[in-house]
Amino acid sequence: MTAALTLARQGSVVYLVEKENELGGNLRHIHYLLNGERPQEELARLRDEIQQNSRIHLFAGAVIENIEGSIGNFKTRISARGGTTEVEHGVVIVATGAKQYQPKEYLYGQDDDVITQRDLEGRLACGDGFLAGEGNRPAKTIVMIRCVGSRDADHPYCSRVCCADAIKNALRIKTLSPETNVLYVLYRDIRTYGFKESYYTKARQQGVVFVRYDEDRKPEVSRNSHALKVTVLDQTLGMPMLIPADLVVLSAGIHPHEENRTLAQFLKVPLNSEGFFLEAHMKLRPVDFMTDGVFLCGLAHSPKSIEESILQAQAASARAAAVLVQDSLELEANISHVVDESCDGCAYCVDTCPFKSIALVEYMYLGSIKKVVETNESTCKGCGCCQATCPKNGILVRGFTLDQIRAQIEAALEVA
Amino acid sequence: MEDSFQPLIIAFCCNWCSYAGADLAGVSRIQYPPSIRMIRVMCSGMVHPNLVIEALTKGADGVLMCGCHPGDCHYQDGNRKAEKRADALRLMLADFGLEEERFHREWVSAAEGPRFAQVVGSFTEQVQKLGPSPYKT
Repeated sequence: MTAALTLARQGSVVYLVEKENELGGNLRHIHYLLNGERPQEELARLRDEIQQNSRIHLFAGAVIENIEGSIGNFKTRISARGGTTEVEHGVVIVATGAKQYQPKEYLYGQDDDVITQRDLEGRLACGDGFLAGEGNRPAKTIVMIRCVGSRDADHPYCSRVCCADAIKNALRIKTLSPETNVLYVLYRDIRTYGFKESYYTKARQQGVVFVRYDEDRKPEVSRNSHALKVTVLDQTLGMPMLIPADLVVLSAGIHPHEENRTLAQFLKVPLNSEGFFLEAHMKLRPVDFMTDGVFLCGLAHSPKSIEESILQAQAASARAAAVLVQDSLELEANISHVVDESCDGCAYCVDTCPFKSIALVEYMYLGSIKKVVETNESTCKGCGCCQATCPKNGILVRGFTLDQIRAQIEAALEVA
Repeated sequence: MEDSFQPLIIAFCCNWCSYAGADLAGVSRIQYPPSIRMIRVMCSGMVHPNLVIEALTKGADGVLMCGCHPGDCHYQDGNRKAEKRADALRLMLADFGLEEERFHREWVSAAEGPRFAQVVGSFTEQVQKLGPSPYKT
């Protein structure tokens, strides 16, 4: 949304494709921040601005069926609300977000008193309904378990935001619910990076109890007739600790969407081993993809906070604007060209070209028919399949000609 | 270790996946044998079979050809063409008096830095077992 607005304000036309029926993504579930800001107000403001901006065409509840073309000349088929539209556009920004892990462990889904941080935040935000169980019984003891569905064998990465999130909710409970006298946070490591460290200190000062656990000795949650019981090995005492809890809150990790794979194939961009989109280079070319004209921001790239997502969206739109303001784009230099003297028109390369850029032409030359191939310079991408197929060195890719590669081989063998 | 044979391997890496994967192995500081000399090509489908034969007959102990995983090719299906050429190449190597293990084709994506290192490691070992190239003077 930020990227769409930034570009529209600069005068570009934006087609905003949203999978859900309303805009906002994960931000819809975040009601307050550590510094007291209320993101819902900002979200409402953004939504209004998008609706009012005539340059932004919103497709809600939409699915992308196909994307073809390349920088400056993309064609995308979008199906939304029964109809299919085809739009032409110059660049693509991938901001597909990510989702919350649905925990399978710690009795989640089986016991109503085991909830996620997001559920807890929803209850805290609506005021009175955050208490455990039926009949709004006050939760005296709350246990938070961190790193659920992150930093394990299947998802080795850290979800980055949950530490600060748990502390945010813990501090909120301390203010809102005096009945809650004990609040445990079971953690593996606390990473409240940047200035968020001060909130960690504040939580400890207010009496939130932080207990460390190991990956191979995870806490156990069980249910007897009245209450939930959480068992965890206290590392200081070296003994198991039994906590009767009214409410267990899980910090569920951020997981990538499965649909990323389809989109990645449409755009011919890579995903990393975890299923997030992989930028061209994390330091030298952030927010760019290897494929020209495709840019990346937000949770689709990796877990990150709201501020970081917004910054990245602005970065991506700046990179995209740099393409959009140009009247014409220069062709790639490294594309194929035909060596007329060597080409005898056998046309092996015509079939092998993945972009249908090569055509066979016949003409009369000195009274006889001569056949050669011709390349289309605007659709050739320089993959070189033709060069490797040609038995007569009749078609070469500039910058990667057989002689040039041969020279590299010879040079490499000499140094040995 | 000094007397152990350190093979010389020419590696053709495609610009989009394998070269980036090798770069990732580098920036992640993953150790792998110093046996390879990498040549960047735009696509594994660009590597002419003649180039592989030439490298081997000019004294390379092995040739590694790396491309994107099937379906991930930046140029739609260049890697599939490379695979077919690789299959044909293997049959031809015997005619040149070379073991077919001296040539290896592998898919390495841009995200697979550790795998690139592992591929280089295992291919180096494989070539080490074969010994120096018969074309080496």
